[in-house]
Amino acid sequence: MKRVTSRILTLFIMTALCLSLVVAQEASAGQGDRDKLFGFAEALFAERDYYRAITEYKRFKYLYPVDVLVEKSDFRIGECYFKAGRRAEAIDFFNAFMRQYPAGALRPDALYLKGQAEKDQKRYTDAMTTFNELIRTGGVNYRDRALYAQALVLLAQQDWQSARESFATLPQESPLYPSAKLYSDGLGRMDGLPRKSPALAGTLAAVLPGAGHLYAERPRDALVSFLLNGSFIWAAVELFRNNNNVAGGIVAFFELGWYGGNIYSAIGSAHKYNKRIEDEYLQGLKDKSGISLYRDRTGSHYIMYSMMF
Amino acid sequence: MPGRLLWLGVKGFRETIGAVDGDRCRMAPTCSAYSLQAIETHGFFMGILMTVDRLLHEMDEMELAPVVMVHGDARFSDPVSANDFWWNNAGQLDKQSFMSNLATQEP
Repeated sequence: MKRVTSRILTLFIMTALCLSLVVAQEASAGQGDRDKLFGFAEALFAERDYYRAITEYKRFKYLYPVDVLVEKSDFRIGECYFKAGRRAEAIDFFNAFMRQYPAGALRPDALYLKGQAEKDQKRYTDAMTTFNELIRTGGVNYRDRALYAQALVLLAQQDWQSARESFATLPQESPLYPSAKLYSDGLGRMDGLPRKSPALAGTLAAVLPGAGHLYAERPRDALVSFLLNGSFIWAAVELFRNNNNVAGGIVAFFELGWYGGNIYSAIGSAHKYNKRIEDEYLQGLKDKSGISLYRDRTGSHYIMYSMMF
Repeated sequence: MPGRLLWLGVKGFRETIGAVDGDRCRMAPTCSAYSLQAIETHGFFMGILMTVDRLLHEMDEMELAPVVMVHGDARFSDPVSANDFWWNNAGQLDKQSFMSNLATQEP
């Protein structure tokens, strides 16, 4: 009897050992699958294969709904939309993300990308509000970035003076300070750019068709305008001189269109000249500032900026 | 009403004379398409002024405008928004694509 009991006990212990080994292996395999799945999604993200990455992040959420990485997966989905250029979807997604994780660690990053997406969508008021919220709630690490982003929003709105003031608010110890200083100083010199006066261009065009274009540095347009208007005016004058008043009236009517268009075109040319000068100047500032964002080791936070001078 | 008549006139030109004459405009949109858009957006008076402006400024614009591919042909991009931005707020926003890219760039 004792022998039978001993055998049963041995058998029981061996079975328990085997079972625990199998369970441990299964558990280990599950952990491996989780890491592999998230890693695969991250690899797709790193390769900029954003749409497939979204699918994998969603798969991860479906398979591991209470995992600690679900918040990051959610954030990454919004980031994928942003980087894939689907700004409207990114905004909606980040709004939902912030409702779902009101105190989440990635909330400031979500706010930052949401603000950028709004700016890209030319929803400047929304972008300013979002960056204001980031300044209020994001802590010191995000304050400077949000201030800098707000200045860029003002720049996009061509509000040079406010942009300049906004850049000037960045503290000297901020890594963004050199770039902000460059922008601030550069914007201060905007008034000195060699611009053309639209009023003068229009006046010159009214006095002598083509002269406005010449002033706006468009010589071929000036020649076309001068010849067209000159031909029609000359034709109308000749027709009236020969008492061909009906034909003269028709030609004069068409000439009115050419003449008005010539003035409009000269004014527009001056505006386009100024815009080109400003754009080139701002492009130069942008190239000099050369801000780049990098991520931390986990890839979840934007932490560093580099500048080219 | 005058805007509608003018629009019909340009449309009629496009579908009759323009169709026979062929596609010779090197701008994008073509001058007649530009004219239709200008009339639709800004009405009779500004539509005429902008159409004349387009006909006058083609030569130098070809030196300055970005090149776009349209049906395999290289054209010079000159939309309505590039010529009304200085008085039309909606157009002004369209023209800010460059400055929208002033945001920080990611590596």
